[in-house]
Amino acid sequence: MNTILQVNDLVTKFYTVDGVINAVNGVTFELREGETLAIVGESGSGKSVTMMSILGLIPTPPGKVENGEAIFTSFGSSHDLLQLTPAELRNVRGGQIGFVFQDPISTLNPIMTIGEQISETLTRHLRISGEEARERTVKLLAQVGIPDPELRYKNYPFQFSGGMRQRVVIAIAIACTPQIIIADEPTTALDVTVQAQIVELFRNLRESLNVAIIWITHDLGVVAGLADRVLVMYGGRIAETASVDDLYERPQHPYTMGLLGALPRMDESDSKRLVSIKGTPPDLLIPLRHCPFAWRCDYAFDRCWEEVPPQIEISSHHKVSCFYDLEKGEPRDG
Amino acid sequence: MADNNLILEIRDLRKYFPIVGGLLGRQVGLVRAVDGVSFSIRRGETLGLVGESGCGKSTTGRAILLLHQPTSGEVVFEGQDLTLLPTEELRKLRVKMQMIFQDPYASLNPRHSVQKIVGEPLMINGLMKPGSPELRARVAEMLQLVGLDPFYMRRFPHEFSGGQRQRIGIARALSINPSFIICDEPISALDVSIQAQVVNLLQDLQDQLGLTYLFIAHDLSMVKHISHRIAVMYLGKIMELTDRNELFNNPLHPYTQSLISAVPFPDPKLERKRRRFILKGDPPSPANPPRGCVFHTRCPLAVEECYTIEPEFHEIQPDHYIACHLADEKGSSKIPEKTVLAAELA
Amino acid sequence: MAVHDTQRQADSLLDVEQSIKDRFAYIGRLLWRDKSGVVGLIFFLTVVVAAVFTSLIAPLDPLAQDLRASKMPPAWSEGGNWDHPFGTDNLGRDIFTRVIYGARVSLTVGFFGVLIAGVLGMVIGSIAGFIGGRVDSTIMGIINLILSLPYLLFVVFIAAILGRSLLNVILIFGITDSPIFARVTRGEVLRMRDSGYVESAISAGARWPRIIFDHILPNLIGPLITLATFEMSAMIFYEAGLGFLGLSVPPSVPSWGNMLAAGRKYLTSYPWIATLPGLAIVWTSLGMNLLGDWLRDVLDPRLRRSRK
Repeated sequence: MNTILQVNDLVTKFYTVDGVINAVNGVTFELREGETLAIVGESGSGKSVTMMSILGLIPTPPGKVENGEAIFTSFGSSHDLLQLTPAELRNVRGGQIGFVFQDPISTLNPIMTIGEQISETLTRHLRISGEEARERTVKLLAQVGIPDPELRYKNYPFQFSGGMRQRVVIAIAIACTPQIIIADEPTTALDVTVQAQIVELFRNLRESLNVAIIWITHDLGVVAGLADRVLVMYGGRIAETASVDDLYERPQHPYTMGLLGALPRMDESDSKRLVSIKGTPPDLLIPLRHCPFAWRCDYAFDRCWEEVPPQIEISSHHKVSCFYDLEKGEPRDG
Repeated sequence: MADNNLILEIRDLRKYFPIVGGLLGRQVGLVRAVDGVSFSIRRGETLGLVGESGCGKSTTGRAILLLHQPTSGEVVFEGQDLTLLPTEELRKLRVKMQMIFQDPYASLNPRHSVQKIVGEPLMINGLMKPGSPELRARVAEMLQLVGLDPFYMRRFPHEFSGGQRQRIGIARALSINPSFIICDEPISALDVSIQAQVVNLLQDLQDQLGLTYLFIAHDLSMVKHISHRIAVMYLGKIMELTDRNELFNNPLHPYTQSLISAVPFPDPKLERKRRRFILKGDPPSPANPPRGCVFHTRCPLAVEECYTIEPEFHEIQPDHYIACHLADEKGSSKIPEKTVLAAELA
Repeated sequence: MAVHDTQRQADSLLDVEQSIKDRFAYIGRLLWRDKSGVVGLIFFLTVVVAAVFTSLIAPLDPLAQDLRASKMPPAWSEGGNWDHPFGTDNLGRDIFTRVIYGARVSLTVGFFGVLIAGVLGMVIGSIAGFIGGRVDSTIMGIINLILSLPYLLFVVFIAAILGRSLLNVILIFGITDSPIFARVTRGEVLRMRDSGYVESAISAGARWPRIIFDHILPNLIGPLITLATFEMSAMIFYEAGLGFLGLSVPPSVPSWGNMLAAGRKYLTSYPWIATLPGLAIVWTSLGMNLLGDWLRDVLDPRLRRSRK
């Protein structure tokens, strides 16, 4: 499968009154055609900032993308998203790359009908007539599971429930048949039963549109049933990246292992004590000089405090940034 | 009726909030946040109260503590109906019931030091004098109990992380030796790795101090982990209440089944095999609840009587309560094909 | 354990330092980042110094007339000299001295006006917020009515009844401005009543006096100080306006408004007589507005830095 998005050594910082927040500290990953990549991390892990940097949505100042490239390949041509002008980037956003945020309220314009909002996206990006845009909009609304799309076309966002609003946002995201959909915590604000609906919708869309999805979340549960590949972030770095089966079966980073242990298993009748990770999330004001997880890691040894661990390839689809070999129970060679 | 084993008994608790509108602030409607809830909690157990946002679970907790005066119903705590007590006596009894709040940022006064926050309940109730060495010692003991270094007691809440603040909230609640604690979504504002710390702490404290918990949350898997029995709430009413393993192995209410089905398992292979039972639509508004069974608008199995007759909340098997027309006395539900999900995992 | 102890020692040093020195350093840094806050503070401090050390800065008598030296231009323009740095007015009074004395009048009106408005508003707003229900809607109804009255008419009316004096001006401002404070107080009280820490205090068994004095009032101080800064600036501004209309302190008192009114006639031929007190007004209200904006950011504990 071809790579459609290649991010290399991305660094983003925020210059605030408290000091420099090192939000993203050298992130490298690729996204292949049609795959679903989950980026998992807690608050402050840099998962959202990574995506906002790529989409050019970092508020500047105080934020600044200091280094890196994000090569986006579509229809045989490649460009670095970080080098595009704001106008070019606007064309890519909502066109070839659709996005869905946690809070649908902030994405939708409260004083426009949802039909107009979707049609507007279509006419702007695809340069089609108003009549054609309208027809397509109705089809899109049906596609994302909104009942009575002809009638709902004329409704305003406040007339929709939270789940239905998120469906509208998804309709906008897929309107111009994008190659990538970036979804940032799209189900976090929703109730469990509604979350299940939206996840199901994404599963269906992935099949029917053959679109690549980047799913940013803190929830390892949702990821298990949705992603092909998972990228675990911690302290603005990638801790581990692996295929979904590998990651859950044999996590190689102590942080991933801790996260999985911290989740209660509903399918087991005897509750085991949860594994808790000691300490608190990293202080991003401190520049990264060693492994960001060393403070909280039970396996940390001298080397972990001396250098930042690079990504080590364990197999073709499993990389980990850790000096300690969990399976052997000893530090890695070299 | 007097069962010494019961610490708390709620009978037909209701809490309606008026909707006011218009220039003169006239009442134009009612939000039936809690609409006839009954359950009891045994000494030393954890009862989980689970439901989606707006189902009334938090209001139930606040009505029990009389932070919201209930519209009707009884709250019997250690044999006394709190709703009938005069203010001063209620104040004294309330000391035995404490609450841990959802938002560790909003529930600690930003201008008070940790020492003052944790010691305040003792000072309010005249148990210890402000600034006394006993108070300091007690605060230090409490902080140690919840895993914080007493050394930092002069600091202010904003100097701590979310998980640490939640520990401060727990230390405060425990400082006056309560026997019953309402945990209102105590972990939902915290990161995953911190959630486990707080849940483990709550369990350890229960073992050490013999506490009784009402654990309110929307996260079914966490509720199952910490609770002995679980009540499932929907639109102001309890749908099903039983032992936690019974609830997962033999859920009789279609809503419980859909909730279980909606919770993702952190296991890709299992997730691929699961058959899903996904509800349509969103929960209706508690200001305008459906007639008959409140769940009928989303229930895939609803029959005619569900639209008109409200199902009674009754004991269908020993210790298994349900409000559904479709479950019969033998405990096997009339639900056509087994859409039950826990069984499929075997 | 050794690491732990060192960490504690470091923290204990930090604790002492941080509570005093570092807090100032932090406020200094905040102030420095927001340069307009620095400007505002400097502007405001000059006015305060002028009002407090009036006779030291301006040794001349503000009322002393010298008709031989009337309408002298400021020192920097032709015909002026440094005996009268800002020149003199139509009666030969030293404008610099009068501007400095005017600061005293303006700050007195502003400070005491805000004090009265603040205390009155806080009491009324707290009552409305705490008791709620019908009491609340009645109070808010009255407040909205007062706020909808044409302000100037109101002031003219009261000034006509009570007469012109510094005390009356302060009273008028204090009373007419109190609804603003009442409204803000009520909003904050309502917000805090439902806040987690008040609920937490109730469930710990606290009675209302404790909740009010220990939990709600201290948290009101931040927003009210910010509001007070803006309102004080507005009062200084309005006082000058009233003075210009001849509705404030008696004409003999050297206030900026009175000076403006007196200089109006000479605006084309001797512009400095009205312009310089006018600039003093601009200086003061600009400074206080900048300061208020900065205070709003600094006094909000939610925006304060968290420390690991």
